[in-house]
Amino acid sequence: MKTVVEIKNVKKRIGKKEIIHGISTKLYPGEVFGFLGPNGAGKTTMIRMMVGLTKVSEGQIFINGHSITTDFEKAVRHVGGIIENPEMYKHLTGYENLRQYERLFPDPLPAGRVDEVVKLVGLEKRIHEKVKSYSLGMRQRLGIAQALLHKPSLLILDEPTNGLDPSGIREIRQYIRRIAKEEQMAVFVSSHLLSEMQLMCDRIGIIQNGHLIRVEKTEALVHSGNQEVLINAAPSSKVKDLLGDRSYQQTEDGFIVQAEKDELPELIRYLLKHDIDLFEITPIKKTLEDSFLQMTEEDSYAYAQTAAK
Amino acid sequence: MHTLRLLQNEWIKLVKKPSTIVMGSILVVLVATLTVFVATFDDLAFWEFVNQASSLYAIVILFSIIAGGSTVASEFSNGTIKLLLIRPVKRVKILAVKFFVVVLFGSLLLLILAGATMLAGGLAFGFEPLFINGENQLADLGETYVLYAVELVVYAAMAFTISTVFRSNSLAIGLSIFLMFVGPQLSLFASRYEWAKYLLFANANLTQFKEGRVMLDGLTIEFSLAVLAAYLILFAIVSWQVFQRRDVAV
Ligand SMILES: Nc1ncnc2c1ncn2[C@@H]1O[C@H](COP(=O)(O)OP(=O)(O)OP(=O)(O)O)[C@@H](O)[C@H]1O
Ligand SMILES: [Mg+2]
Repeated sequence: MKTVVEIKNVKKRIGKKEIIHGISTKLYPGEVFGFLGPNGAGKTTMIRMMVGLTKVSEGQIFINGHSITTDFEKAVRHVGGIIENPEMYKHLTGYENLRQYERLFPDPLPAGRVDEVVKLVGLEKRIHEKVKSYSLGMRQRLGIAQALLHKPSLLILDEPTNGLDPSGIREIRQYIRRIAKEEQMAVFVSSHLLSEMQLMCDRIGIIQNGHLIRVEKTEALVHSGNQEVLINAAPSSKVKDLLGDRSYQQTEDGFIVQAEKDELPELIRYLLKHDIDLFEITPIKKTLEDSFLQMTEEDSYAYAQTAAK
Repeated sequence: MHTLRLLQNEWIKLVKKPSTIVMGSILVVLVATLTVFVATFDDLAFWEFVNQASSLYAIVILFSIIAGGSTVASEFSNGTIKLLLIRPVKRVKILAVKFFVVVLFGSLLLLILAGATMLAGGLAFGFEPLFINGENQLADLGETYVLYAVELVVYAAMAFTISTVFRSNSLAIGLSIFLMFVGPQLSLFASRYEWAKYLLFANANLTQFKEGRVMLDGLTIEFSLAVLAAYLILFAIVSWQVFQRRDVAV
C-alpha cells in the first residue's frame, strides 16, 4: 500500500537534552492515526518536525516520498495542519485570514474553495468578522478550515478539539472520520483525551517520554489486557466457593471476575450446574483510558526503576 | 506570479494594522500643524517651504523602523509564524518579501510626505512655477527624497535584522530608534579615529553631500554608498541565516 508518511528513527535534541528518542512509524491513506500521550510526552515536538518548523536532529521524515529536510516545499505541499493553538491574524477577518493562506500556495485554488471550507466548518455566519471577536471554538474551526483549504493528503492536528463544546467535538470528530475516508487523506491527530481518540482513530500510537511505546489498532488496544465480567448471582457465599481461585472482586452489583471471553460459556455452565440464580452477566468493556493508564503506569514504573538504579 | 501573491499578503497584513493607519494620520497631521505654525510666524516661498518641511522625513524613518522591527517579530509573538512557515514557500522568500514590503511602505510614506507638504505649502504660501532660475525644482526635491529613501532602507534593514535575530519588536524598535538619534553624535565623537568613517551612522545621511555639510573629513558619496551597501549585505546575510535555521517553537 502507498504510504503517506514515513517516519524513520527520528530523534530530536534540544541542547544536550534528547526529547524524542528514535520514533518510527508509517501512515496510510484514509487512516486516522492517533498520537496519544500525557503532557510533555513530545507530541507537539514530533508534529513540529513533521511540518518542518523545527529541524530533525537525526533520522528522516518522508511525506508522499519527499523528505521534509531536503525537499521541504514538495513535502509540505500536501500537508495541512494546526500546531497547538490555531493563532490567526486577529486584525483581519476570518475570511481574509483564509485568503492569506490561499495565496501562500503557488497554484491558485479553484474558485469558491474558500467558501466551501467555511461552510464545511460551519462558520458562514461569522466569517466576515474580525478574528479578535471569535471564541476559542470558532478559532479552532477556522484553524481546521485553513488546514483543509488545499485538500492535503496529510492532515496534522495537534489537539484539535481543545476548546470545542461537546457538540463541536462530535461534529469535528465525525467530520475528520468522514473526510479521511472520502478523500483518502491520512490524518495524524494528537491528544491526551483518551476517550476522544478511541472514537476517532483507526490506529493509535502511544508516546511517552519521547518513546513510541506502542502502536496498535484501536480495537486491539481497547480489548487488550484481561477481560472482566460482571456476574450478578445468588447466593453469594456459594458463588464465592464456586469461583474458587479465580481472581474476583465483590461489589454491590455483583462479582467482577477476571475471565477471557472464550472462557465464559464454560464458566456459565459450571455456575448453572450448581443451582446458582444467575441474574446478570455482562462483559465489562475496558476503555482505552484504562489500558492507557495501565500501560503508562507500567512504563513510568519501569522508568522509575531504571532511573533509580 | 507567486511572489506577487506573497507581496499582496504582506501588504494587506501591514496596512490593515490599526497602528499603520495611525502612522499615516500622524504624518498628515504633523504636516498640517507645521504648515500652520510656519505660516503664522514666517512667510516662505513655496519651494523653500517644501524643502524645509521635507526634514519631517525623520518621522517616516521612525515609522519604517517600527514596521521593519515588527514584521517578523509580531509573527512570532502572535504565533502566526507557525501557520506561515508550513507552506510550500522558502523561508528566505518570505523574509525577502517582508523586507520589500517594509521598504514599499516607507517609500509610500515619503511620497505622502512630499505630496502633503506641497499641497499644504501651496495652500498656505501660494504655488510657484516648476522652473526657477532655469532649475527644475521638483527634480531637485526628488533627488533629496531619493537620498532620504536610501537612509530609510538602511535603518529599516537594521531594525528588521535586530527583530529577526531577537524576535522582539520592542527591542528592535527601541534600539534602532536610539541608534538613529544617537548614532550620528557617536560618530562625531569618534571622528578622530580612522574607523569612525566606517560607522553606519556616519554614512547613512546622504543629504550631507548634497548640502555640502559633510560630517567627517574625507567622506564622499561613493564611499558612503559602498559602506552602506556592505552593511545591507551584512544585514541580509545575518537575518537570512538566522531565520533559515531557526527552530520555531512558539
Ligand atoms: N524549546 C524547548 N527547549 C527545551 N525543552 C523543550 C522545548 N520544547 C519542548 N521541550 C520539552 O520537550 C518535551 C516535550 O514537549 P512537547 O511540547 O512536545 O509535549 P506534548 O506531548 O506536546 O505535551 P502537551 O500534551 O502538554 O501538549 C517536554 O518535556 C518539554 O519540556
Ligand atoms: Mg502539545
